[in-house]
Amino acid sequence: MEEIKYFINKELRYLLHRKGHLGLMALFVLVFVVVSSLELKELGPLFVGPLVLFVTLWTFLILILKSEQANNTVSFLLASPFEFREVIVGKIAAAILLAYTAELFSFGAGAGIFWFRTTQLMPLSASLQILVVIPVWGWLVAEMLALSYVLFGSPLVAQAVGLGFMALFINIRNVGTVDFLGSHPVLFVLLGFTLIILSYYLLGRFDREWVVKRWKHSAS
Amino acid sequence: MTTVVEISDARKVYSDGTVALKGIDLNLNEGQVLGLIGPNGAGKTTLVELVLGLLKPTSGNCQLWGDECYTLSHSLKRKVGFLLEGTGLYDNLTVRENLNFWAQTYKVEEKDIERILADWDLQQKVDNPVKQLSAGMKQKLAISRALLPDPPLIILDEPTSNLDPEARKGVVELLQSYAGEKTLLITSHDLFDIERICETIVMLRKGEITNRGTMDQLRDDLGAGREVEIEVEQNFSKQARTELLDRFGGEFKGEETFVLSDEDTKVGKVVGFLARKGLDVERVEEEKLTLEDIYTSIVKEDENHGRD
Repeated sequence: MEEIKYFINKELRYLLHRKGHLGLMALFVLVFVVVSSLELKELGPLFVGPLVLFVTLWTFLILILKSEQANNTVSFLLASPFEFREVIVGKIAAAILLAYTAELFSFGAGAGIFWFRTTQLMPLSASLQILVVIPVWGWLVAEMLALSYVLFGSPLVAQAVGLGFMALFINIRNVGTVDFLGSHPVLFVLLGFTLIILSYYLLGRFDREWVVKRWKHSAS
Repeated sequence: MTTVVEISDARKVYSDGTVALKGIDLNLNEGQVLGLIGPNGAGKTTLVELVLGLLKPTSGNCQLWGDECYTLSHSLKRKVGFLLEGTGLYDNLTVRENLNFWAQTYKVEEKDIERILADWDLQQKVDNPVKQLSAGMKQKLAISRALLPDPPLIILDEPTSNLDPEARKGVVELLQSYAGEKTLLITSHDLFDIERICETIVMLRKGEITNRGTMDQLRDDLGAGREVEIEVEQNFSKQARTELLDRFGGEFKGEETFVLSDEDTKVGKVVGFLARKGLDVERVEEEKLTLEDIYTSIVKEDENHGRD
């Protein structure tokens, strides 16, 4: 587990050097917070939080996954005291940290605008949903994204799954009839954590030789 | 003496059917310095990747300190410093950030980073992103990264490529200083460096070890370990040239030098012949073949056999 910490540290430093990408993401978050809050009113914070989380998560994750190929460091990592799952989890954790920060900011700003316009606070269950349930499931989507990128050379499969997940979430909120996710946050969090632990175990089952070959040569 | 690397009957067949290694047997004892040479596609990189646990042998065994390389523990991995194709550095991170990351990974203390920076003359560039360094500086940093944990086993693939002559001399001298102290496995196309660093040399060709031993043993393997140059004071006459070639073989180097390849029994006869012809011998000098000469000769010989 200690190795994962080193990785998070390295990836955060790497992302902090990508000032262009960080600036673009910050601009995206700001614009999106303002536009969505004005257009969607009470749905604004609920809509913008997850969207910002997923978009920033994907952007940062792809960036740091690509960096290993660009620097030709895949073999170096896996010949070092790192397992494949530690590398993947470290990268996801770093991307999640930044994405979660962006989500916190956008949700906070959206909730502030919502309060300013309606003098109402965001409901606690919705807040928990945005700040706990969605990030937990965001981790799982990020794992799918990372694996499909590393092993199959394309993040498209995971992006499709992620978009489907987001569409489902937004649809649930819009229709307002099926609010299962919102009304059972603990169940979803527990289920999410169980799947994260299971996937951590499964990541450890990947054959290193196969992973090196795929990661070095398949993705572009 | 402890065996550090033990490879027995290791075969590697890739999924596309390419046979990269055909039953390699190789041991590397503690303190031994071994050079791995061979043309492109000989299997050098496959062998190195097998030892580093990046590849699993199709059959046979590959062990480090008695443990399978492919399932080596983190603690044993920390005892291996290595350099592969590329540098293992992140272009967007600074020199210090790169070293910090690898130092944490290998549980190296902060003071060792400072020592490495000083030893390798990298202090001036410590806050520069790696992408701003010259190819030579990057290579120096890559080697220092590999040596950062002060590992007992060092595996270096082409360590002197991209280095300027001064840095290269420094690397060669450093690696020479490890003789007897650390175990080294080095691959290089620069046979001159290999010859200076390594006590044992293994030649791989088409996935097999074709020659192995010390430089002298390789010379013996080749059966033509040296050249003898005989220089005369005057130019050779046309007639003397013809007679020398007819009687002794060999070849001329310039107007005043006749070269015999590994024909020491003929040297006395040639000198006698020259005296009879009124040519005064100025110099008789034995020149040992370099590794490069031997390598070229073996590869050519293999190619000739391949054509037969």
